[in-house]
Amino acid sequence: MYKKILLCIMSILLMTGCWDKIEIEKRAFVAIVGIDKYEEDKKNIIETEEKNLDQIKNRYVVTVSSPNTGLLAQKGEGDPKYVYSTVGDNLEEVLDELETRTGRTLNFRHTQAIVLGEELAKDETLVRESLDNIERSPGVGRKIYLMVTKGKAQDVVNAKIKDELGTGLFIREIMRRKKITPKIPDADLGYVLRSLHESRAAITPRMIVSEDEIKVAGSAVFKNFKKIGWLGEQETEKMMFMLNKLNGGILNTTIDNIRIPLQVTDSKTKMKVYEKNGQIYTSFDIKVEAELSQHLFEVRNQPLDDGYLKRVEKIASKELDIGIETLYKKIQKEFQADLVQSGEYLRKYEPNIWKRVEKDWNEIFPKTQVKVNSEIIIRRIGDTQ
Amino acid sequence: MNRNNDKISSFQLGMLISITVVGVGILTIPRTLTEEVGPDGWIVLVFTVFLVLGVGRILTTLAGKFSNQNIVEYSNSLVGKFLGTLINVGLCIYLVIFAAFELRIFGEITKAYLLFNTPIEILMITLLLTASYFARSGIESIARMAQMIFPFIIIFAFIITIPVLSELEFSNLLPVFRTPIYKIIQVIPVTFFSFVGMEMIIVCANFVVDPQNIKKNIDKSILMVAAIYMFILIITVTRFGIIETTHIIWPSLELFKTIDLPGAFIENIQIFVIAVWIITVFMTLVPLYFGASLTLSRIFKSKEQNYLVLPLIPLVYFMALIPENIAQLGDYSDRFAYYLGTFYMLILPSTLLLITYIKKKARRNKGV
Repeated sequence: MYKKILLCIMSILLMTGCWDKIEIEKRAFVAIVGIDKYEEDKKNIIETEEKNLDQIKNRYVVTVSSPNTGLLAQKGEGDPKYVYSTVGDNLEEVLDELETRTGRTLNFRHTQAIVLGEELAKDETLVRESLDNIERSPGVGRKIYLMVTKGKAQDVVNAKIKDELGTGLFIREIMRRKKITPKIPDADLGYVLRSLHESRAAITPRMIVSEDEIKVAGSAVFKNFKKIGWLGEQETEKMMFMLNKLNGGILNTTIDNIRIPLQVTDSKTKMKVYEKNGQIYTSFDIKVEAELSQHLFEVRNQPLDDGYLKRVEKIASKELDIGIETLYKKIQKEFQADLVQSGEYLRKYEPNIWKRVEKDWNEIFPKTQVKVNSEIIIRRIGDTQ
Repeated sequence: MNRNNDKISSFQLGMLISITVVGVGILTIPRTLTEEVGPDGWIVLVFTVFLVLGVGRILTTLAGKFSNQNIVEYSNSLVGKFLGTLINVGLCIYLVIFAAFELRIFGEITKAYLLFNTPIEILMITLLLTASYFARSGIESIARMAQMIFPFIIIFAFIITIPVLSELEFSNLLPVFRTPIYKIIQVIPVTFFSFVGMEMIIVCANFVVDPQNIKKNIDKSILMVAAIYMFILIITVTRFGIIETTHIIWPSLELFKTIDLPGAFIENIQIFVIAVWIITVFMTLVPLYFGASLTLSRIFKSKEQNYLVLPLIPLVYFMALIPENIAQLGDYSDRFAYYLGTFYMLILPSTLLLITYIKKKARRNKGV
């Protein structure tokens, strides 16, 4: 008998409850986070006693949005997403504040993107604080996207998109298409962190927001942990060529006044950095396979002629060469950012040279020469000749 | 003590040793190695394996000489009662501290990745109570559990890394052979301590029914552990690159944050990895705990070990709570492995082996 009583007493120990139990309705699955720099709005400040006592210095504005999970399951009603925004001294404080205000626990395991506002991205301290916070928190995966938007991140999170449920889910769908269009850089958080650690320079996708639309195109250039410029859509495409991350896209070329788009089906880039006569060269060998997808109506016998195709290939690859060279010079002169990771290449493959140039790589990189050698092969021409 | 169920095969001993060794070391080995020698970590690991195989030989030879006796008994007869007791009490304390470290690291990781609000004390007590229940049930069930779980863990670890394979950058292992040889030799101890837990061979070897196969099976299990370490090291370094690998506290766990399963119906694979890792750390804790209680029972010349498990609970628990934070924990565990680990893994077994040979020779000389 006493054994049974003992068992009952001991089972009380098992009933202490769950510290980490959170009902699913009490969780807010944050789909997208927008981080902005706090800018004081002089008109709205009311000098209250409390404010003076607290001496809070607001530096961040954080906006989060979580989808209405009930609506996703086609049961609930109301707005498709909840958006909350608040200010604070650091990210942790802001998130705490958000949890208090919403009465829910924020969960970042399903976050799709973190958007930085342009003003914040220009501020080195804030960017470094945010990056460290993101990297340090165990809940945030490395497959999400860190993006920079022109303007305010708050507007991105707030944007009401036509026929889409939530901004976060929408971004995920867009980013899936990076395999098709190189105008969206293939750069996830893992890449950004790694590249910033290795060469202190990285690109992140750029986000443009209008009233009812969000567009991801082009990229922001980070150097020494702050945004120093933008790359346009065409430039981003060239950048993807240099990083060997291109999987698709269209190369436009003109021959005999006929505009010809070439659909890229496969592309491989080999980068090499070497030293010749005391000068460091970066060379890109690019092999592209493409399909000719448009010619001009009622122009006969041109695409179905090997000689003609060879000419198209030659002109197109020359244009590509020039495009990439121009971009390389731009990132050298304008940004002085080693985005192609040529320093890393030297460290790996030419450790002897790297030892010599490591200390002043920042000065040497803008002086390196570039050589591009691309080869475009047209494999298919479609149904008509 | 010689009941029927206290018999294990040498294969089971090998599994037991493997799972004891693969515990906490696997989480940090990519970082510690990369911090010291950059991309040449795998070379250091290869050298270490040879060293560890040598140590394994010393331990198994010693165990083979006294196949019916426990370390407590033969050390007493070899170095005398006083010194022997000192060594054995030390061994018991060593195993208790070791178990405490495992327990604390388990608590830290579970709190950091899984249960954010649960007090670490509760996490640790839960695992400790389970482990003590298991340690009471004797060597045979522990060995059988090890035999069951170890292959499962290997297969799971391999399958779960498949999605990463396409994103590896093998150029991150370049440049090779740039580390000077003296530096490599300097770093070998660091990796060597990822193999602590091997001294369980001398604690458990007398339960083995086929002592002639011990050497073979221990060699196998060392190679298996080395292969796992090598796999994790190479995957981590090729995924993160050198600089980031040194930046992350537990790179092997962080690795699973970078996995995006195709289809994406499961998004956070990391949680499964930690769940499996908890099983390994549990299976490291149990043999150590068992070893501690066994040594204690032999010191007291008691026949049973299981009633000594319970008094050890508060000892392990409070020791696990001593380090104030994770940085201090790292410091302590480094120092612990450096001094006590070397002593019980290398110095003690080789000294005992040497004494055995000397005594044998002396006896033979007397006989002539």
